[in-house]
Amino acid sequence: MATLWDALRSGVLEEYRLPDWEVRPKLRPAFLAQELLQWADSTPELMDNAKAIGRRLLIEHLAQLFCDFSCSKRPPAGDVRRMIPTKRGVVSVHAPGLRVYGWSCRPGCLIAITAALETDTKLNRKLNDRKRDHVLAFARKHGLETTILKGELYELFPSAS
Amino acid sequence: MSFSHRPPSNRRQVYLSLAGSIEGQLRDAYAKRHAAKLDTQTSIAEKLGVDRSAVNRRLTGKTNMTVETLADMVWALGYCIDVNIFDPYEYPSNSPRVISEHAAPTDAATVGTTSITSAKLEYAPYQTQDLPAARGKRPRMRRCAAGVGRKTLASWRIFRRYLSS
Repeated sequence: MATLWDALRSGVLEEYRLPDWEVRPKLRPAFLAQELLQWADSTPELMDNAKAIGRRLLIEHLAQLFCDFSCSKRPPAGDVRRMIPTKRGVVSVHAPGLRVYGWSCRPGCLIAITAALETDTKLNRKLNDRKRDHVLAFARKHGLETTILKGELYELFPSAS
Repeated sequence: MSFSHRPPSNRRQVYLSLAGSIEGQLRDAYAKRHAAKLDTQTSIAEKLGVDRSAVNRRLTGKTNMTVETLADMVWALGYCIDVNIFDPYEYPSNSPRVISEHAAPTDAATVGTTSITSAKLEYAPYQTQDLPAARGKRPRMRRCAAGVGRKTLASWRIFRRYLSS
């Protein structure tokens, strides 16, 4: 069993640092797994102009997701969802064209482990389940199961409900 | 740690900052109205005569809204909007903000074709160093009774001083 701080010290997780263009103050923390950062680096679709939504690249939407989560009074409307089975405590956060998977370690705090393109989740119906299982496997591997907060959405993210 | 992709250009950063700020404010406004049971996405769509999914797309950042669309959303939510375009050298601040790479101290500002360099320089030390740094915040422009902003009055005084010199 490890604590969140052990995971941060060992480099398994890192706190999300706001980009230069985000001018709002941080209200709640978000932690990212190294593999999510690697996924972002190794996914060319994120930088593809043809896949941009609303004149913004998917990588910009991904950064905006974490900015909004960290700085907005309320995380994006209805876009934090508990995954089935809800008793496991895995949540997915929806941004335009993207799905981010993780869990909440305390009210209002997100630990993001992995992500997927929305188009991939539509094409492969089992991808969501695979990602959910991957999140749980990650928590088991690093001894972080006890940090998974379970409960209703308003308990996990009070300002999102 | 943030994403290690090529950082967006300064021009892009100004856009991302503005878009994020506008969408965040719209969502907060909608959340407030929704929590008070005053509005739903459907009711906003009905007021605007558009589909509910269009309202959803606007609230979730899937569209690049035009000024008219933005004004429509603000109108449907029953809110007001205030746009502030300012010179960062005129209003320095300790709080973070995206400053354009084209921003420059206004020591050679002009009114039309008439240069007011000396008047601006005379006035600049007071405006750019003393006040905002001491307050640590960009002073807000207030409206006076005649409906003219302080900034306008200040500019008018500088111009008059220039004419009389």
